[in-house]
Amino acid sequence: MVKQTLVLVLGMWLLGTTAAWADDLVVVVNENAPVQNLTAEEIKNIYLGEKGFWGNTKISPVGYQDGAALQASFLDRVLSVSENVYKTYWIKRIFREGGMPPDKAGSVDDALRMVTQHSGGITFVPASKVAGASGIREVYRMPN
Amino acid sequence: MKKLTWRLGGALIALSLYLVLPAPDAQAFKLNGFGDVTFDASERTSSEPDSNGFALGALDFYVAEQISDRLDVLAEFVIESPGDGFVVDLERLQATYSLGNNHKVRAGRFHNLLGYWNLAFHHGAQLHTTISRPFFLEFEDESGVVPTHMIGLWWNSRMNTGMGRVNIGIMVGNGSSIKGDLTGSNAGPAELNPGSSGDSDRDKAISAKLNFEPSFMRGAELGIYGNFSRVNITDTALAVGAPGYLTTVEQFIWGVDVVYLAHNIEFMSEVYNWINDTQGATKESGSVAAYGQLGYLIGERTTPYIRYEYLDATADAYFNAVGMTVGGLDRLKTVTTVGVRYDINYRSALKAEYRAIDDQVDGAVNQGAVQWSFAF
Repeated sequence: MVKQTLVLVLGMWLLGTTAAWADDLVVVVNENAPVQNLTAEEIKNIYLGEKGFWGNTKISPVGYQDGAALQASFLDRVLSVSENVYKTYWIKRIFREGGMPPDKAGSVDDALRMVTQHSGGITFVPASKVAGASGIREVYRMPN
Repeated sequence: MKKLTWRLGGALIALSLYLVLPAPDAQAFKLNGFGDVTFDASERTSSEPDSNGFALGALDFYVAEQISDRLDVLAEFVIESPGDGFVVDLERLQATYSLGNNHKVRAGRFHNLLGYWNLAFHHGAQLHTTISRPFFLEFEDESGVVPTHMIGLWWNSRMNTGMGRVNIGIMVGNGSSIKGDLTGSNAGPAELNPGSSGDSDRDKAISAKLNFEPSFMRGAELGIYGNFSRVNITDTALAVGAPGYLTTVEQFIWGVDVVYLAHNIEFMSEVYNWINDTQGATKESGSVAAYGQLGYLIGERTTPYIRYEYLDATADAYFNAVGMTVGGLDRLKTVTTVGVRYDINYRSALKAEYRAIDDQVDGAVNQGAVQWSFAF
């Protein structure tokens, strides 16, 4: 019984950690957000705090907790930085200019829920999580 | 600890209570900060013996909070030891209102937008590669000669052009003043006061900066900046109204900066020019200061660096009052620094450096320092 549980947990962990790498990365926004498509450069500027508004709508970016494979994958593929460089960037930016870094979600489901709560919500998820999800719209896809 | 002086003790206690006590329907904000411990060793100078010892750097706390979609607040306060105890200083308190992506207006107390260093690096030693700031860019309460803080309004706009991004910043605020015993029996350097509690006259200081980030060279910045201010210097050793009791200096500081931060290279250089027109003087006096710093990140953690600092100060009422020139003599001072920084992780670093100082006042002096800096 213990062995079966360990195998099951290990299998789920491997599935979870590899999902972010094996799947396309999709950027989604709240269904009411005033954007249809975004470029990689625009997404980069949002997650660096350089772009904070779509018209009058405050953008609310959502990332993931430190160490999450999906966060590291996004930072590497879209922002071309490591997690440590990104965290250092935000320490410096907040100290210099004020403002707030992206919120951190504990899971993909949490991130999607947070995006649906703000009309300016935006996050990134594995493509497999988008199908069937309500309240969001895909605006960018990065093939694996 | 000999003495604990709380200049803003009430504010600190209130802030601490706010952080500790849960408030219903309120979102607690997060207190972050910086600190450092430095071991300094210095040769004998004309005024100081050989010395070495440990020193606590400023313990720097800051909070940033989004009040609404367009309004955020940043507060920074520092616990530091000026020599005979500890004091708490409110360094920055700025409310920012965003008018879209490209325009912001701020009110409060902030760092003057002159140059690159003063806006990029604040009190946290962890943020800059070197152990210390360039000596002429030290803060007002540490014998600095540049008005590093301003209290007032700050407008900032940016425009994206085909060639790159243009940033324009304008600050309007209280003019600096200097007050102290300048000619009496206890005469000594006085502090440049940015006027946190008000202005000493009706004339406001104005700072402006134009900055360009070319799109064809990512990581490069070129800036030009200036500051107009009327500095009132009060000599408390003299009777009120006596000749020399109040001296006014019409001051214009201007300069350029060049920065390149890419491909593991950190290069920054700034020049400051002072044109001081002292009331009653026959002509304006000019002074100049500059530094250049180059570092290169090897691997992910190690950054060797070198910096050269230069100041050629004319002995006028302004530089005499802040103590940069003494006895009516001009002062030429250079500092050459060679060092290395090792990042333990993204929140902590060890630094070691050697400084060769050549100073008309203190002579040639060699110094060494080791610092452990951290963010929390």
